Formats: sequence, structure tokens, C-alpha cells
Amino acid sequence: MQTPHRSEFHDFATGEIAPWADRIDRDQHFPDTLIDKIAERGYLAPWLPREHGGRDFDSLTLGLLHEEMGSVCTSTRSLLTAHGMVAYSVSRWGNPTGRTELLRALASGKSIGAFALSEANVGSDAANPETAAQKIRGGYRLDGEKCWITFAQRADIILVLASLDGLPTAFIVRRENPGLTVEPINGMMGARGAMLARLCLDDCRVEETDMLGRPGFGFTMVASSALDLGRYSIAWGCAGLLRACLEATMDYTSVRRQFGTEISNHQLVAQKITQMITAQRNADLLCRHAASLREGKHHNAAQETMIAKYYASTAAMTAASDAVQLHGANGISGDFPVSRLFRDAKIMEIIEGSTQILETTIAGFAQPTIPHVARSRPEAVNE
Amino acid sequence: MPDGLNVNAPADVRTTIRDYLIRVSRQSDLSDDHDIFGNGIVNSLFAVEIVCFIEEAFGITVVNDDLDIANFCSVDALTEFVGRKSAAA
Repeated sequence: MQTPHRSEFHDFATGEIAPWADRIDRDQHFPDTLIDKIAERGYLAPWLPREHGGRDFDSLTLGLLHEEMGSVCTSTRSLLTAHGMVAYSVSRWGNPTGRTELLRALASGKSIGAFALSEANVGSDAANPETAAQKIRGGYRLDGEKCWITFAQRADIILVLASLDGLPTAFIVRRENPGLTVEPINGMMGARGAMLARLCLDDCRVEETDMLGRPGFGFTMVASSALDLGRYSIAWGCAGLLRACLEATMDYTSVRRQFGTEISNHQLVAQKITQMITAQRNADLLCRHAASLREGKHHNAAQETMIAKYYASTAAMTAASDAVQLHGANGISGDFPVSRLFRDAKIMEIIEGSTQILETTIAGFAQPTIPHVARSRPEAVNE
Repeated sequence: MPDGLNVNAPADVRTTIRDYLIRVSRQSDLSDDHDIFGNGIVNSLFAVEIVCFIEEAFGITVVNDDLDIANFCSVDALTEFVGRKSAAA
């Protein structure tokens, strides 16, 4: 069942997206024509049921889509990730009033989503936003700023996490809201076509029905469950990026000759290739394991997804670094894709749970008494 | 859903929930009234997992109206919540 979809995704990624990847990176712009093509294929929120405009993709099929997209263009995969997180949040926690219509708009591409969690002073400590929400008659008022928001330059529907009387709470803000200002962020190191923006919310008023979930559950349930999907998407995307590094390296080292032979025949080059091959296999296996658990609704699925993201993103960074190294001067020029892959890989180690946050969290799966967990248990501090 | 689980028998539900929380928290002395959120045993990742667990184990769906910490804060609370949801289904 997966093979026909894999071919479909591969053909679309290589035929429609790959020819644009360098230009998207260079121009720091993602063209609407590509968004339209992605939407026409039903790739924006494909796990949604068909009655909501989706394609009923299971977890593995969704993963393969992100892997193929990630192998050619991280900015494209970023669109699917961010938009998917918003669509998931609406489907799971959205107010029943207008939810179906909104889901159809998100699935069709009529509306593009952005997930506004981060702020200038709020990164890993995402559960404590400085953006404030205040109850007013008929709805809520939002004030604050969000930063580093993927595809916010283009988004029509933005999920915003704010503090409502000290309780993290999620809201939907529409682009046309007069209290919302969008300021493009350019010059990012990688994923340069991901259309990042800063959001200024100044007396931004939303309806009561624009709340997702309930007060106090904006991070614990709404954002956390969406971030779980985001990590899953990025894990597969990194597996794809890693594969692209391997393929680029094989292409180059099999023709580049030094000292009378192709450089792939040199032992230290072969060592790097072997490490890349093994890492790609490992990333793929971890992603598939996460897919299996997610499909079975296993309660450990989120943990295994986190492990897959951690491994795939760090392995992709290592592979990209080695790929650049093996390309020599060509690797640090703009003429070969590996320099872009390197820059994109670095971003993946920072977003959706930085490497360091994941390392402390994953260690806690086995040892709940390590310091970072003990700190959250006041009675344990004095043990 | 675990084989043979009778969601209409609170003892089964309570035991299943208690066993799960003890396993994931590694708190063998976890009492049924212990506040797992207030005492920092559960973080946001575990909160997502708990919801996933009770949905799959007991065949219920957590919706917006269920998002009240009083439904999830202890073995007692989760047992009562599952019982209410199952009865309403």
C-alpha cells in the first residue's frame, strides 16, 4: 500500500519541487504557485478524513510524504509541518462552530496555517508565553509579540499561544484581524524559504469560538499534541535530508578523482560514506517504528517520535557536515546542493525541541530522578 | 483496549490506570489520590500520553469539555472520568 504512494511523492518532489529548491533558498520566498500545486495533490493536511478534504493518510504514508519532501526542499517540508500542526489543532481541539468549514479551507489550501508559539524571550520554555490574553465581552483581547513563526508571512490562520490569567491558552487569529501586524524575517541561515515572520498583536480581538481547547490547556494539550505531530514530520524530513546528503555524496565521490582514483575509493572517504549509509538506515527504522506506534495509538508513540526526531536531526547534521567536507571547495560553494542541505540541517537541531532539550527529556524516560525532573518535584530537591 | 477489560467495572478501570501511572512514573508507592500534575510527576509530554492511553485503553475520546485538570490529576480522578465517559457513550 505504501509503494504507490512513495512513487507518487517521489515523482512530485523531484519533478515539481526540486527544480525550485535552490531558487526558494536564494530568493527567501515560497511561490504561491507551488502552494497551489501542493494543495491540489491534497498534501497540506492529508491525514484528515476525506469528508474534511483530506486523503485519509495513515501515519506511515504521511511520514513518507514528509521524507520525500524533506529530501528535496526543507522549506517545502516546513510548510507541510507548520500548516499540518494548525490543521491538527483545529481538528482535535477546535470549537465545533465553524470547525468543518475551517478544516476544509486548510485542507484545500484556501487558508494557510502558521503556529505561533515562540517569542523573543520564549523558546524552549514555551509553556510560559509573555503574550497576554484578556477576557472581554464576546471574546478575548490578545497583546504581545511572536517571533520566528514559520510561514507567517503567508498564513491566513494563525494559532497563537497566550497567557490568560496566567493560564496558557490557544487561540485562532485570522490574518485580516486589525490587531495583527506581520513583519517578515529574512536572512535566516537555513530553511530560507520558510517565510518566517514576527507577529505583533496589539488589541487583537478574537471571538470566544476562536479558543482551542480550554484555558490552561493551551500548551499541555493543544500545543503539545501539535508539537508531537511536528516532531514526527521533522523526523521524517530529516531522514529525507540525510538520504539527500548520502545521494549527493555518492554522486560526487564516484566521479571526483584525486591521486589517480575516484575519491570514494579512499578509505577515509569510504568511512564517511559507511557512516552515512548506516545513519540513514537507522533514521528510517526509528521513523518507521514511530509510525507503527502512532498508527496503533500506543501510549509510547510520543516518546518514540521524540527519539526519532532527536536521532534523525542530529544524524542529518552530521551527514550534511560530512557531505560538505567530502565535496571540498565545491561543498562550500553554491553550485552543489550540499551547502543548502548543511544550512537546513542545522535548523532542524533547533526547532520543535532543541537537541539539548530532547536529550534531557529522553533521558527522563528511563530515569525520572535525574535533576531536571527532580527540579519539577519540589519534595525531591531536598532528598 | 486490553482483552477482557470491563469498562463498567470500576475495579478494572482503576487497576489499569494505576498500573499505567506507576509504570510511567516509576512511583511504586503512588497513592490513588496523589496529584500527579501538582506534584510535577507529569509534564506536557506525559499529559499527551495519558490522554492517548485512556482513549485507546477505554475506547473514549477526550474532547474540549473534558479539559479540566480535575479529570486527570490522580488515579481517582481518571477512574471517575473514564467511568462518566463510558456511561455517557
